[in-house]
Amino acid sequence: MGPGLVVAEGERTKESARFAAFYASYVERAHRIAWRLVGGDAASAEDVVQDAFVKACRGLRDFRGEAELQSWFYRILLNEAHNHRRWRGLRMRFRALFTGNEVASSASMGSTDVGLRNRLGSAIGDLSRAQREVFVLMYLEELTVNETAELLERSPGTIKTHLHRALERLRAELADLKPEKDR
Amino acid sequence: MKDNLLDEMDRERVATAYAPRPLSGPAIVAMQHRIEERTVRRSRRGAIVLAACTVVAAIGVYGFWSLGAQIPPSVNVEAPLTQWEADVLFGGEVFDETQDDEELPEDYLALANAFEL
Repeated sequence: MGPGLVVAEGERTKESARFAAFYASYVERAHRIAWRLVGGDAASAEDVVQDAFVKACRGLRDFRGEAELQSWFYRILLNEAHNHRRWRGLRMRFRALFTGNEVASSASMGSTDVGLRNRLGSAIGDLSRAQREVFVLMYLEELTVNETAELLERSPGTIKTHLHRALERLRAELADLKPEKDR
Repeated sequence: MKDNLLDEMDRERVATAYAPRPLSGPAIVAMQHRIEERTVRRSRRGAIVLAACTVVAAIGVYGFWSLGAQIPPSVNVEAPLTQWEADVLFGGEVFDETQDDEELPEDYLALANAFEL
C-alpha cells in the first residue's frame, strides 16, 4: 500500500469517526423532532432522520463550530420533514381519489395516553409550517428564542409571534383538555 | 391561572404525551449502518453519473469538432465549388460533372457520398 493510499485511508477513518460522533450526539433529538413534525409516524420519522443524516454526511467536513453545525443539521432535518409531509399529503390525496376515503397515518408512539396524543397530533398538524416548527422546537424541545431564530433564520420577534399564534390556535383547538390536576 | 393543557405548567405532560418511543441501542446502530450504506451508495452513484456525463460530453465535443472540421458553416454544399474551394479541397484538381466516377478524386467521392449528392 502506497503512502497516498495510507493517507486516504486515514482520512476516511477520521471522517468515519467524526460522523459516528456526530450521529451519536444528534440522533435521539433528531428522531424526536422528526417524529413530532411528521405527525407521530415512527417509520416516516426514521426515513426523515436517515435522509437528513445522509445529506449532512457530505457537508460535515466543512464545519468547525458546534453551534453552526447544529443549526445547519436541524435546518436540513426540518426541510426533510416538511418535504416528507408534503409528499405524504399528496400521496394520501391521490389515494383518496381511488379509495374514496382518507387514509389515516400509521401513528405509533411510546406514550400510553393515545387519545391525548391523537388530539395533539391532529391539532399540531393543522398549524402552518412555521407555527408547527416553532411550537415543536420551542415548546416541546425547549430551545430558546435565539436558538430557534438562528435555526429557522428568522428574527426573534417573528419566532415569538409564531409561537404565540401556535399556542393560541392549539388552546382553542384543545380547549376541552384540562390540566392534569384539574381533571 | 391555568386555562387548559397548554399552559406553562403542563408543558411537560404535553411533551411526554407527544413523544416517540425512545430509540433502542440496536435500533440506533442499525440506523447508523443504513445511513453509512446509503452514503456509500450515493457517492458511488455520483461517481458513475459523473463518469457517464464526462463520456457523453467527450463524445459530443469530438462529434462537434469532427463535424465542424469537415463542414465549415460558411460553405454551402449545394452551390458549385469555386476555383478557390477546389484548390483548397482537392489541391487545384478541377473536375467537371461529365467525368466518370472512377476519374473523380477520392476525396470528392467521399464528400459527395456523405451528403448524398
